[in-house]
Amino acid sequence: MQEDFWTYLMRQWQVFYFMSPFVLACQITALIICLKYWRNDKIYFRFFGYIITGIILFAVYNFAVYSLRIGNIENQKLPELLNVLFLIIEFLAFSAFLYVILKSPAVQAATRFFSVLFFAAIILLTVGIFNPLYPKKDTDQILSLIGCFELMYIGFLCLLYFYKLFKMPPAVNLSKSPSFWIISFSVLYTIVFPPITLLFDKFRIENKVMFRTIVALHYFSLGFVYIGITKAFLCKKPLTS
Amino acid sequence: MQKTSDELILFVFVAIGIIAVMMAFILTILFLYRKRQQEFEKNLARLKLDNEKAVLSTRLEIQEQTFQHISREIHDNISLALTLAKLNLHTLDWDNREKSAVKVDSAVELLTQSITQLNDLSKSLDADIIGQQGLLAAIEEERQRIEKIGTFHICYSVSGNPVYMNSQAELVIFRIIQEAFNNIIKHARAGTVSLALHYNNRTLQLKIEDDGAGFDTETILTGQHAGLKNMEARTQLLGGQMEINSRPGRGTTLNFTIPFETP
Repeated sequence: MQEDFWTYLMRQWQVFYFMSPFVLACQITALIICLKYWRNDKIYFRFFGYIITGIILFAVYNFAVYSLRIGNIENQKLPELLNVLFLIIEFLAFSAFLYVILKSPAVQAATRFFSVLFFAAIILLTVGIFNPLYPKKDTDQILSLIGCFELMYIGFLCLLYFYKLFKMPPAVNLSKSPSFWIISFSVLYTIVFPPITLLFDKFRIENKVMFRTIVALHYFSLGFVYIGITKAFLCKKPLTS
Repeated sequence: MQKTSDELILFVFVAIGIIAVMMAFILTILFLYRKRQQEFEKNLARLKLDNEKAVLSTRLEIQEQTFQHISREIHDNISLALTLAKLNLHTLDWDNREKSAVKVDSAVELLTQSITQLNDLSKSLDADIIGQQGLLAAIEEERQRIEKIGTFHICYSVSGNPVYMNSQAELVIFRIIQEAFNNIIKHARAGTVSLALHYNNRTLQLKIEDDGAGFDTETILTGQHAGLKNMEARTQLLGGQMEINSRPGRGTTLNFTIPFETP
């Protein structure tokens, strides 16, 4: 008997202990709160709303393509290109945000340097995607590697934020500071998980239990990033305060 | 089934561990930051209190200096003239009209001199002109008063766009200028004094230069020289800076930089 959509969906979600719907719920909550306080803030706080909308649509597309098998993706490059696009948007969003928050010439110079390296790697990856000599497995690994270093760089900037927090005069009300909440909830995800994600393929083949647990935990901590963004919106203050 | 529930338990434990670590991290940061903030606020309050005490002490010191100045003026000049006038009237010889007439004229002159000195003292202490006509008008009047005494000539110039500062600040600036003139009268033996006010975007630059005796700045500044200390204290009250350039025999230049917005 062919199972219905909801049973199939539950089965898919159960694989990773329902962490996928948890992340989706966190994203939707963040988006709703962002829309509620849309008029409260300057343009650079609102950009998180656009980013989250894009991420949700991207997640829905990925689910449709990979889980529901809608559309023939065997010889198409679109899913891979969308993954690359997602990586670019994630990098631009967080590095721009931290670029504005940290306001240090050294950090800004380092971000510009890292951006050059990042986009050079992205261009090479994109060329590789369209080059039939490179199998999908290799381009996926390179994508994971770029994503890993990108997140680690953002994690480093998050730690730098805390260093600066205790160096500067304590003039900010931290519990009402949007940037504090976004960075606090992101620091674990950006530092701990990037190297672990490189081992996903290894675990998928060698240790399925570990693979399920790590992917689920990965989604779990990703959900907290959106909880942090939600809390930031609830502060109802400009992002740089 | 057992394996699945073991996996689930492992996941739940690790997830709880992640939440615990995250919460502990956030709470620790909040706690440490709050502690640092309280220390900072305490230090700020202490600095503010110290500053207020310094300002109050300076104001009292300036007041004391003013009272001493009044006392000295009365004792040195006015009191002496009145005493002489009294002596002249007391020693009148009614049998010798000519001699008595001279003594009466002398007494009248001394009394006139005392009245003028009292009026001048009163005017120099009266700050009304600042409130009514502003600093520049007060300086012009003071310049005329001093030139009338004939001690030295004052070259007075104003450049830039004059800015109205609050009456209190302008009064303090006026007192600085008065103090400088008093010092020149008492010590410098100058022939010409130049007084220049320059208004720029945020500050008033005041320069008082004389061609008098000058002094060794190191000796003077380490001593108890009330006039200079007074000027410095008044400048600090306004959040400004004072610079003294002088050499024995080469005259003296005082430069003041006073912000329009007083702290």
